[in-house]
Amino acid sequence: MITVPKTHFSYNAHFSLFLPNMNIDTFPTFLIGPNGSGKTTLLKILGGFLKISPPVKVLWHGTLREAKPTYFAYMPARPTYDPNFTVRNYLMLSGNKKQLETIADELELKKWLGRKMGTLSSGWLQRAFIARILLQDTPYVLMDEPTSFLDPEARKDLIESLSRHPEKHFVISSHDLSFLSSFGKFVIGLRDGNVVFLGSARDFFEKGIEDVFVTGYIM
Amino acid sequence: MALLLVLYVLTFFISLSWGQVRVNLISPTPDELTLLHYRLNRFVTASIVGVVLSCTALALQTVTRNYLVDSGLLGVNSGAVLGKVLSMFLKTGPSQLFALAGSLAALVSTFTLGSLGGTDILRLVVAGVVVNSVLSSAISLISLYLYTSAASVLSWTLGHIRTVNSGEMIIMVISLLLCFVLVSRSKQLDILTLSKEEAMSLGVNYRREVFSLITVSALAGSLVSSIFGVFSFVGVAAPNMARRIVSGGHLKMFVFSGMIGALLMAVSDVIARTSLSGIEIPTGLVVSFAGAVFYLYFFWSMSRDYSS
Repeated sequence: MITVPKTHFSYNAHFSLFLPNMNIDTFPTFLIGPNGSGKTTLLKILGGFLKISPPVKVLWHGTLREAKPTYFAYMPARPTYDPNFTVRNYLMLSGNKKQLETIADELELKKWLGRKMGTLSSGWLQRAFIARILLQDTPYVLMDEPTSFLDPEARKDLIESLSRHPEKHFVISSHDLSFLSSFGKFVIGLRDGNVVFLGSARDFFEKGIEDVFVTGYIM
Repeated sequence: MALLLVLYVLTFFISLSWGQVRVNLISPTPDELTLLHYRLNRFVTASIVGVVLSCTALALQTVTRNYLVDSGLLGVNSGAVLGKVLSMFLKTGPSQLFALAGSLAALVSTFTLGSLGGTDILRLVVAGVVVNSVLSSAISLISLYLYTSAASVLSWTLGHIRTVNSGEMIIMVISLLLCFVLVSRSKQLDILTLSKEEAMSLGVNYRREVFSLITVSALAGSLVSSIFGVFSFVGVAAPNMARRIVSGGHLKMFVFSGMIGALLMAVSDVIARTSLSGIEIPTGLVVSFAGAVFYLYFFWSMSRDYSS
């Protein structure tokens, strides 16, 4: 569970994010909203990368504690990597040797383990990113726009690989409504730095969608 | 790896025996022994310089995510040259101390400028460019008034390997130790190839780690350039050549970059000593030229598997 206090956060003079009290305990949770609505900022606040006061709290080994980056695995919108690392080197950064083979197998990455990251196509790179995130030894996974560069088939693969890990608590920022409809359970709808919807994914499609996106949005 | 070692050992023997006077390594005369001592000193010096330049460059390349930077990034090289030029201009010494003070002053001003209005790496790099540029014009300005020694200013900006006295040797050992500090942070450097948030989530204190790595690298670089002047290219070339040969984490890359750097410098120094009889070419000039040609060959011959 992640709890957010009522507060507001200013990034610079141009952008403020207003947050109500929120308890996030249904996963996968989606942060939905148009570009510039504050999704990435909220994601970074949840992970303790950006500090607010009073702080965000996270259920960690049975107690509610102040959110720290080390409690989360984080996948940025554009992950960076050393092209000279092999896939194995890259995955080992998460420090989880035990499960490396299992996860690599699951994502069909096994035959690529010895290849350099710089020689992979974008689809296989994406799989390497996902594998590293899943390998990190924490239940909480934050993902920023994971589908934005994927074709429909790759998106289907992504959903399948994430679904195989019900033990992980995903919080995903996205404006991809079909991704939400097939994977999301809980929605925080954002618009211009305000939380305009809070509820289940089904409710979102019934009544929240027009608060988040402009009226007449066609899926 | 084995090939590199063999090449390095070969260079060792060549550098000892080859010169204006050939030395018989098996049974040297007392005179030749003195000569051997001199050549050994130079060989070790060149190797250490190569190791320091390539290891600092490797660390800085990772931290700034740019494969084309080296230890001169934050202005320490031009600071060292300015210090040296100043000491010639004022006719006071010791020039090494002036050079060291100059490069440290450059480093401090880069950090001060870079911390104005924020503390990200890009700011620091831009501040380094500004400091470099300002110092270069100051160097040009002063050397315009130093007609008689314009040549020595030039030779200083080219980098000159020479035998070192024990005091200078201590400074070199310190810079080598700073490199070991960098090597001991290999794990953190590996993680720093990821984005800032990913690195933080893996337990790296991003800001502190990055700034201490930059400081240590720049310090090590400034110690070397304050004694020998500026060597361009080794720092950029060695890690990139290592990347062509092997893949992997920083521990491995430090070893390979260091060896390639040492090899490049040692070979260049032999060429600098021996290619023209009677005079010595600045090693920095040889290393930029030979290194560039070698690098180009290396790059083209292996470009196929990288071009995709």
